[in-house]
Amino acid sequence: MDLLKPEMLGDVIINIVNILILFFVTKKLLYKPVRNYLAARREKELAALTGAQEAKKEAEEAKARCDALLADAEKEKETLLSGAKAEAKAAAEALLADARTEADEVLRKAGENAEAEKARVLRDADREIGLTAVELAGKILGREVSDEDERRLIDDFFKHLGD
Amino acid sequence: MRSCVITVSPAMTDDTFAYLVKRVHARFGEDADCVRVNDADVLGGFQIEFDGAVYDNTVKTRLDQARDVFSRGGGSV
Repeated sequence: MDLLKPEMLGDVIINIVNILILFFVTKKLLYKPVRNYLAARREKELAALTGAQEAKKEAEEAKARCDALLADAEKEKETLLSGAKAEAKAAAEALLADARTEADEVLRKAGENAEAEKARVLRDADREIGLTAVELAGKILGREVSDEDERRLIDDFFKHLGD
Repeated sequence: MRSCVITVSPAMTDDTFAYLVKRVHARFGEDADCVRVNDADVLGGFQIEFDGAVYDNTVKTRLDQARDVFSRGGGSV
Protein backbone atom coordinates (compact mmCIF):
# COMPACT_ATOMS: atom_id res chain seq x y z
CA MET A 1 0.00 0.00 0.00
CA ASP A 2 3.00 2.14 0.37
CA LEU A 3 3.42 2.15 -3.35
CA LEU A 4 -0.12 3.35 -4.03
CA LYS A 5 -0.20 6.70 -2.43
CA PRO A 6 -3.52 8.49 -2.13
CA GLU A 7 -2.52 11.26 -4.45
CA MET A 8 -1.69 8.69 -7.10
CA LEU A 9 -5.07 6.94 -6.86
CA GLY A 10 -6.78 9.70 -8.79
CA ASP A 11 -4.24 9.36 -11.58
CA VAL A 12 -4.75 5.65 -11.67
CA ILE A 13 -8.46 6.02 -11.95
CA ILE A 14 -8.09 8.66 -14.61
CA ASN A 15 -5.74 6.35 -16.50
CA ILE A 16 -8.17 3.47 -16.21
CA VAL A 17 -10.97 5.70 -17.43
CA ASN A 18 -8.76 6.84 -20.32
CA ILE A 19 -7.95 3.30 -21.21
CA LEU A 20 -11.59 2.36 -21.16
CA ILE A 21 -12.50 5.38 -23.26
CA LEU A 22 -9.68 4.56 -25.64
CA PHE A 23 -10.88 0.98 -25.80
CA PHE A 24 -14.45 1.91 -26.63
CA VAL A 25 -13.42 4.60 -29.09
CA THR A 26 -10.99 2.25 -30.75
CA LYS A 27 -13.59 -0.49 -30.85
CA LYS A 28 -16.11 1.89 -32.26
CA LEU A 29 -13.90 3.59 -34.78
CA LEU A 30 -11.47 0.83 -35.82
CA TYR A 31 -12.65 -2.64 -34.88
CA LYS A 32 -16.04 -2.58 -36.67
CA PRO A 33 -14.74 -1.08 -39.93
CA VAL A 34 -11.86 -3.48 -39.97
CA ARG A 35 -14.19 -6.39 -39.24
CA ASN A 36 -16.62 -5.19 -41.88
CA TYR A 37 -13.75 -4.72 -44.29
CA LEU A 38 -12.45 -8.21 -43.57
CA ALA A 39 -15.94 -9.69 -43.89
CA ALA A 40 -16.47 -7.89 -47.18
CA ARG A 41 -13.09 -8.99 -48.36
CA ARG A 42 -13.84 -12.59 -47.39
CA GLU A 43 -17.15 -12.44 -49.21
CA LYS A 44 -15.42 -10.92 -52.21
CA GLU A 45 -12.81 -13.63 -52.11
CA LEU A 46 -15.51 -16.26 -51.75
CA ALA A 47 -17.37 -14.72 -54.66
CA ALA A 48 -14.18 -14.61 -56.67
CA LEU A 49 -13.46 -18.18 -55.75
CA THR A 50 -16.97 -19.25 -56.66
CA GLY A 51 -16.69 -17.32 -59.89
CA ALA A 52 -13.37 -18.91 -60.60
CA GLN A 53 -14.79 -22.34 -59.89
CA GLU A 54 -17.76 -21.64 -62.13
CA ALA A 55 -15.44 -20.29 -64.78
CA LYS A 56 -13.30 -23.37 -64.42
CA LYS A 57 -16.37 -25.56 -64.64
CA GLU A 58 -17.58 -23.65 -67.67
CA ALA A 59 -14.14 -23.89 -69.19
CA GLU A 60 -14.11 -27.63 -68.55
CA GLU A 61 -17.58 -27.94 -70.06
CA ALA A 62 -16.49 -25.86 -73.01
CA LYS A 63 -13.41 -28.04 -73.36
CA ALA A 64 -15.61 -31.14 -73.21
CA ARG A 65 -17.89 -29.65 -75.86
CA CYS A 66 -14.86 -28.78 -77.95
CA ASP A 67 -13.51 -32.30 -77.50
CA ALA A 68 -16.87 -33.72 -78.51
CA LEU A 69 -16.98 -31.40 -81.50
CA LEU A 70 -13.45 -32.40 -82.41
CA ALA A 71 -14.34 -36.06 -82.05
CA ASP A 72 -17.43 -35.55 -84.21
CA ALA A 73 -15.37 -33.65 -86.74
CA GLU A 74 -12.75 -36.40 -86.71
CA LYS A 75 -15.46 -39.02 -87.12
CA GLU A 76 -17.06 -37.03 -89.93
CA LYS A 77 -13.66 -36.58 -91.54
CA GLU A 78 -13.07 -40.32 -91.37
CA THR A 79 -16.54 -40.94 -92.76
CA LEU A 80 -15.98 -38.46 -95.57
CA LEU A 81 -12.53 -39.85 -96.26
CA SER A 82 -13.77 -43.42 -96.29
CA GLY A 83 -16.71 -42.37 -98.45
CA ALA A 84 -14.42 -40.48 -100.79
CA LYS A 85 -12.06 -43.45 -100.87
CA ALA A 86 -14.96 -45.80 -101.63
CA GLU A 87 -16.25 -43.46 -104.33
CA ALA A 88 -12.78 -43.08 -105.81
CA LYS A 89 -12.30 -46.85 -105.71
CA ALA A 90 -15.69 -47.43 -107.33
CA ALA A 91 -14.93 -44.82 -109.97
CA ALA A 92 -11.54 -46.37 -110.63
CA GLU A 93 -13.08 -49.83 -110.86
CA ALA A 94 -15.75 -48.52 -113.20
CA LEU A 95 -13.10 -46.90 -115.36
CA LEU A 96 -11.08 -50.09 -115.31
CA ALA A 97 -14.13 -52.15 -116.22
CA ASP A 98 -14.96 -49.75 -119.05
CA ALA A 99 -11.39 -49.91 -120.28
CA ARG A 100 -11.44 -53.73 -120.12
CA THR A 101 -14.76 -53.83 -121.96
CA GLU A 102 -13.47 -51.44 -124.60
CA ALA A 103 -10.25 -53.41 -124.97
CA ASP A 104 -12.22 -56.65 -125.28
CA GLU A 105 -14.44 -55.03 -127.90
CA VAL A 106 -11.42 -53.78 -129.83
CA LEU A 107 -9.83 -57.23 -129.64
CA ARG A 108 -13.09 -58.90 -130.66
CA LYS A 109 -13.51 -56.55 -133.63
CA ALA A 110 -9.87 -57.00 -134.57
CA GLY A 111 -10.35 -60.76 -134.39
CA GLU A 112 -13.50 -60.55 -136.48
CA ASN A 113 -11.78 -58.31 -138.99
CA ALA A 114 -8.82 -60.66 -139.14
CA GLU A 115 -11.15 -63.64 -139.61
CA ALA A 116 -13.12 -61.78 -142.27
CA GLU A 117 -9.92 -60.78 -144.03
CA LYS A 118 -8.61 -64.33 -143.79
CA ALA A 119 -11.89 -65.66 -145.19
CA ARG A 120 -11.82 -63.08 -147.98
CA VAL A 121 -8.24 -63.95 -148.86
CA LEU A 122 -9.13 -67.65 -148.85
CA ARG A 123 -12.19 -66.99 -151.02
CA ASP A 124 -10.09 -64.95 -153.42
CA ALA A 125 -7.50 -67.70 -153.49
CA ASP A 126 -10.20 -70.32 -154.04
CA ARG A 127 -11.65 -68.29 -156.88
CA GLU A 128 -8.28 -67.72 -158.50
CA ILE A 129 -7.36 -71.37 -158.10
CA GLY A 130 -10.75 -72.46 -159.43
CA LEU A 131 -10.59 -70.13 -162.41
CA THR A 132 -7.05 -71.23 -163.16
CA ALA A 133 -8.13 -74.86 -162.87
CA VAL A 134 -11.02 -74.19 -165.25
CA GLU A 135 -8.72 -72.55 -167.76
CA LEU A 136 -6.25 -75.41 -167.52
CA ALA A 137 -9.06 -77.94 -167.80
CA GLY A 138 -10.35 -76.16 -170.91
CA LYS A 139 -6.93 -76.26 -172.54
CA ILE A 140 -6.40 -79.93 -171.64
CA LEU A 141 -9.90 -80.99 -172.67
CA GLY A 142 -9.53 -79.14 -175.98
CA ARG A 143 -6.76 -81.56 -176.82
CA GLU A 144 -7.67 -84.68 -174.91
CA VAL A 145 -11.42 -85.41 -175.00
CA SER A 146 -11.42 -89.03 -176.13
CA ASP A 147 -14.11 -91.07 -177.83
CA GLU A 148 -14.75 -92.81 -174.57
CA ASP A 149 -15.28 -89.44 -172.90
CA GLU A 150 -17.69 -88.42 -175.63
CA ARG A 151 -19.71 -91.63 -175.32
CA ARG A 152 -19.82 -91.23 -171.55
CA LEU A 153 -21.16 -87.68 -172.01
CA ILE A 154 -23.80 -89.02 -174.41
CA ASP A 155 -24.83 -91.82 -172.07
CA ASP A 156 -24.97 -89.52 -169.04
CA PHE A 157 -27.10 -87.00 -170.93
CA PHE A 158 -29.71 -89.51 -172.08
CA LYS A 159 -29.68 -91.22 -168.74
CA HIS A 160 -30.65 -87.86 -167.18
CA LEU A 161 -33.42 -87.52 -169.75
CA GLY A 162 -34.80 -90.82 -168.54
CA ASP A 163 -33.68 -93.26 -171.21
CA MET B 1 -39.06 -85.10 -190.90
CA ARG B 2 -38.09 -82.75 -188.12
CA SER B 3 -34.81 -80.91 -188.17
CA CYS B 4 -32.30 -81.73 -185.44
CA VAL B 5 -29.04 -79.75 -185.39
CA ILE B 6 -26.24 -81.39 -183.39
CA THR B 7 -23.17 -79.27 -182.69
CA VAL B 8 -20.07 -81.25 -181.74
CA SER B 9 -16.29 -80.94 -181.65
CA PRO B 10 -14.51 -81.59 -184.94
CA ALA B 11 -12.50 -84.19 -183.07
CA MET B 12 -15.55 -86.39 -182.49
CA THR B 13 -15.27 -89.52 -184.61
CA ASP B 14 -17.96 -90.55 -187.05
CA ASP B 15 -18.64 -93.67 -185.02
CA THR B 16 -19.28 -91.67 -181.91
CA PHE B 17 -21.49 -89.23 -183.83
CA ALA B 18 -23.42 -92.19 -185.24
CA TYR B 19 -23.86 -93.48 -181.69
CA LEU B 20 -25.18 -90.07 -180.68
CA VAL B 21 -27.64 -89.98 -183.60
CA LYS B 22 -28.85 -93.42 -182.64
CA ARG B 23 -29.55 -92.23 -179.10
CA VAL B 24 -31.30 -89.12 -180.47
CA HIS B 25 -33.57 -91.21 -182.64
CA ALA B 26 -34.34 -93.46 -179.74
CA ARG B 27 -35.24 -90.50 -177.62
CA PHE B 28 -36.93 -88.08 -179.99
CA GLY B 29 -38.10 -90.39 -182.78
CA GLU B 30 -36.81 -91.73 -186.05
CA ASP B 31 -38.15 -88.71 -187.94
CA ALA B 32 -35.49 -86.49 -186.39
CA ASP B 33 -33.31 -85.35 -189.30
CA CYS B 34 -29.92 -85.00 -187.63
CA VAL B 35 -27.41 -82.57 -189.09
CA ARG B 36 -23.86 -82.37 -187.76
CA VAL B 37 -22.27 -78.97 -187.13
CA ASN B 38 -18.61 -78.89 -186.12
CA ASP B 39 -17.48 -76.23 -183.65
CA ALA B 40 -14.04 -76.46 -182.05
CA ASP B 41 -15.14 -74.14 -179.21
CA VAL B 42 -17.40 -76.78 -177.67
CA LEU B 43 -14.25 -78.78 -176.74
CA GLY B 44 -16.29 -81.95 -176.23
CA GLY B 45 -19.82 -83.18 -175.74
CA PHE B 46 -22.69 -81.91 -177.88
CA GLN B 47 -25.55 -79.45 -178.24
CA ILE B 48 -28.89 -80.56 -179.69
CA GLU B 49 -31.41 -78.13 -181.15
CA PHE B 50 -34.69 -79.91 -181.72
CA ASP B 51 -38.33 -78.80 -181.84
CA GLY B 52 -37.42 -75.33 -180.59
CA ALA B 53 -35.54 -76.69 -177.58
CA VAL B 54 -31.80 -76.57 -176.99
CA TYR B 55 -30.08 -79.34 -175.02
CA ASP B 56 -26.58 -78.18 -174.18
CA ASN B 57 -24.21 -80.87 -172.95
CA THR B 58 -20.93 -79.40 -174.16
CA VAL B 59 -17.71 -79.32 -172.21
CA LYS B 60 -17.47 -75.62 -173.00
CA THR B 61 -20.79 -74.91 -171.25
CA ARG B 62 -19.77 -76.95 -168.22
CA LEU B 63 -16.51 -75.07 -168.00
CA ASP B 64 -18.38 -71.76 -168.37
CA GLN B 65 -20.67 -72.78 -165.52
CA ALA B 66 -17.68 -73.70 -163.39
CA ARG B 67 -16.00 -70.42 -164.26
CA ASP B 68 -19.15 -68.51 -163.27
CA VAL B 69 -19.31 -70.32 -159.94
CA PHE B 70 -15.67 -69.49 -159.15
CA SER B 71 -16.09 -65.90 -160.37
CA ARG B 72 -19.00 -65.42 -157.93
CA GLY B 73 -16.77 -66.68 -155.14
CA GLY B 74 -18.24 -70.15 -154.79
CA GLY B 75 -15.97 -72.87 -153.50
CA SER B 76 -17.39 -75.80 -155.39
CA VAL B 77 -18.90 -76.48 -158.81
